[in-house]
Amino acid sequence: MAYSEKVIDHYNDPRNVGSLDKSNDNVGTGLVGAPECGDVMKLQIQVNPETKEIVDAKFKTFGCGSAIASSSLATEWVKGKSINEAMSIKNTEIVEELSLPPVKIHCSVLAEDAIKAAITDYRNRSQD
Amino acid sequence: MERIIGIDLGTTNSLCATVFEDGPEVIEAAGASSTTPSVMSWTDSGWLVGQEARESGITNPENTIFSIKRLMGRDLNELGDYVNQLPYQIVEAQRQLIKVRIGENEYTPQELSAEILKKVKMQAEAVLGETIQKAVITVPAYFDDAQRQATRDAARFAGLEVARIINEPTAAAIAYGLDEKKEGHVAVYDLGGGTFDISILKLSGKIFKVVATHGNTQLGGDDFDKAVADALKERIQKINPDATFDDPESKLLLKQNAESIKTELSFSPESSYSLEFPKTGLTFDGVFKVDEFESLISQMIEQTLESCSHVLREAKLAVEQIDEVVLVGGSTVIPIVRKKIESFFGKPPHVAIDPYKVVAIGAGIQGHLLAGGRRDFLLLDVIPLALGIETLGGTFSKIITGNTTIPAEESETFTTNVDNQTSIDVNIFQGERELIKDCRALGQFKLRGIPPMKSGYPLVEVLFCVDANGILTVSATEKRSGQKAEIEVIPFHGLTQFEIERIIEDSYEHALDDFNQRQLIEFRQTAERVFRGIEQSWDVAENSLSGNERTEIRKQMESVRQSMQGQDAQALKVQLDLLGDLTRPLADNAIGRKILAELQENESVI
Amino acid sequence: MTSPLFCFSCNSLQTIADNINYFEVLGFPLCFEIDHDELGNRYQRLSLEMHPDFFATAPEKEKRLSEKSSALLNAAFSTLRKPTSRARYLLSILTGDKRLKSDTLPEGFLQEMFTLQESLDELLESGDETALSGINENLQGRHTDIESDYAVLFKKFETSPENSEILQQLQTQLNSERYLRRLLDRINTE
Repeated sequence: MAYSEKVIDHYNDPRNVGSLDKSNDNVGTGLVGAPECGDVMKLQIQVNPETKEIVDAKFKTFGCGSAIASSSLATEWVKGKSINEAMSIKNTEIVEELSLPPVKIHCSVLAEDAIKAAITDYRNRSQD
Repeated sequence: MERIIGIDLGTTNSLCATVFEDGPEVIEAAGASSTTPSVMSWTDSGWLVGQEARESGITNPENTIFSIKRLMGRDLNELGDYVNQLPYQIVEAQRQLIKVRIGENEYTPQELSAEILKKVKMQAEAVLGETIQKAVITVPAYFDDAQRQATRDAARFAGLEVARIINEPTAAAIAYGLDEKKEGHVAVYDLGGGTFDISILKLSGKIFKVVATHGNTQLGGDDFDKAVADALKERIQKINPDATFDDPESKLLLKQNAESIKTELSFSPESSYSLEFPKTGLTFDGVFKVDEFESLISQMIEQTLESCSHVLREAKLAVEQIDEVVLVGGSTVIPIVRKKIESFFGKPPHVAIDPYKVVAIGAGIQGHLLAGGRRDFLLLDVIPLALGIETLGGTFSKIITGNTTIPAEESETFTTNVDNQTSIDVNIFQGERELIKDCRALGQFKLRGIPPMKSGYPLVEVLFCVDANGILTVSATEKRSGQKAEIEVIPFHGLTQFEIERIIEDSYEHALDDFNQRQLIEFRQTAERVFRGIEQSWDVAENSLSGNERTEIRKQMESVRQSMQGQDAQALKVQLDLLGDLTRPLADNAIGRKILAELQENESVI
Repeated sequence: MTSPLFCFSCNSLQTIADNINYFEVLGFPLCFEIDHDELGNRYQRLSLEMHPDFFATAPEKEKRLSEKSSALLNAAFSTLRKPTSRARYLLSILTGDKRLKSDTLPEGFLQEMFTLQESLDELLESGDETALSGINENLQGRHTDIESDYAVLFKKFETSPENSEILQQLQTQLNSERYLRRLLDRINTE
């Protein structure tokens, strides 16, 4: 089984690890978990309120390598996208990009859920 | 009932045992040592194995092989600096396999290990007076799949069918448990020549269940020897900064002296040595103190105790819950080792059983059980390390976890990534770490013959089966079509089926040769003994035999001598027999009888 | 005792039926509460009959069957002896075709787990043994509480088998257990 350099890279050197200020109204936070393995993943986005573009994204994942790689990839992908575009990212795209094996597909689902949860949180907060 | 003997195939020594009418015991000829040093030496007349090889080693260091067990199922990378200490030459063969080069020939560790097994088998056959075909062979509990496979292959090369591979500490526990008839949790601390194991067993009624096991297949008395040898080198270099020790003679000389220093320090506060390097003619004398030895090895003992802590955690037991600590392996006779074990477990270890023999005896008992001789106990063992496959980004996905009771089966379902894909490659690993780079690659298998379907649609169920020997086999079925997928496992550190068959074929071809060689050696030795006997009784012969008869004997002795120079064992035998006939009249006196006895014994061996 | 894997009266291994469940293997009814001593005894008795060691000289086919049966017995025993794996296994059987939400958790639980993981980061970094053993004890206690809830819930389900809400509650407990287990493993291995 040969893995692309990219995959190994996301595992060994995850991007955008960290936190954004939760109290900032332009920040949306998604917290999700995978009951299959007890992984927890927090993904945060910072949105430009004018353009609705995601200007920054951070994550923190307590979980296996695949979960970390999936969330790392997710933060890379959402940056620069509008929140509507980001909303349409599918877990299957992550599976494909990282060539995740069947036993690890739930990790990609987790990343997709985290993106959605973060956007929903942002929308709820910015409407208030 | 067919006999199944037990063989403890050790790093330093090997021995075998069986169940006799009055109980289990090691198999030994009267008055002879039961242990065979795991050493072999290639000489002009073929392999010398055991004590002879050990003794002749120093004059033939490049062709003298010891500690072959540490090379079983390993590659050059894994062995690292270890191979540089060895006086014999290691070369890399295809697929990261290693071989030992002796002259023009290269041998796999399996083939060399087979020589030890052949010797042990022959000795046992001589004592028992029957042929032996089956054996239980012990391996360190922490041996992984590749190392177990290698051991099994070695046995095949030696013409032995492996009835079961069992773990050394477990074998010891059988012998201990049946002997002491105790119940509860037993920790078996097994520190041998090259490997360390700690196993915790629960003994209850007829069942001996391994709860957890841990260890290190590259830590043992050999490493203590190395530490002493390094210290010796340092001392010598202090006096003579230019001294080098890279030639095979020096390496073996240092190793053997270090070993005897270590042995002496087990019962004496100091050991004096006198080294004489044959190449340079340099000599060094000195004294090694037990304190120095203890500080050299204390770090390594600590390492074993860390394994003990680990195994207790795995077993979910507090140290107080261990009812007995049983010591196994030659290195546990070292006082500092015992002291540290005692302070770790908070109780003196059980030392009533012979740590050198207990593993072989346990294996012998297990062999008796397998042969159908008894069924009043059962050993339930575990796999030491998780088995699984490589998944994303070099991560290790466990399929069967470590310390699972064997036999065990688990399956995992795979699918395809691409439409109409008909094969999948899977890499198999063994270990406890999260990344495959920290685990051992066992092999790669290709799933072929998947019916063409849309991607993600096929459901290929891959079944991992670990048998009672702790050896893995893999099979696969496509669930939607019910089609059995073909699996071809390519071992990374072992021999392929093809290679095994070729070696066995070769050995059949050489079997006649080998047999001839062995007989030749036997007959030459007999002839020497007979000559000595004749010379000793020549005075008698002068009185009791006619001049003609004496001349005949002298002439026949010359013929025997000529045959001894040749390579034909049978021809030598014929000449020896003729000499026997001629010297028969000498049987009238004691020495003559001795000669005759010598010749008759020789006949019975043939 | 009886087991579909071995006939005690004719002393022989039986063919393994498809879809046999672990409770059947050891001759227990499909019920969470299990007599632990009896479980151990039955495991030993069956092992003493079926283990490959006793078939070393048998024909190849029987040898293989003994390997298979023993592997199944080992899996059954290791699943049933621990409450969480037994609960998970039983729940999957009882659920059958019914649909349960797989990711339910008590309110605020996930946030709490995340916070605990973060504080573990710090504690493991600083090596504060007292604080660590405090957390360990606390989590261990919660873990035990969850495990003792299984029996109550399964009992409830026995009396009202049409109420799949109880199964959902069990699912929630089992989900929570995974997160707690994860934390406990981290404390005890790092």
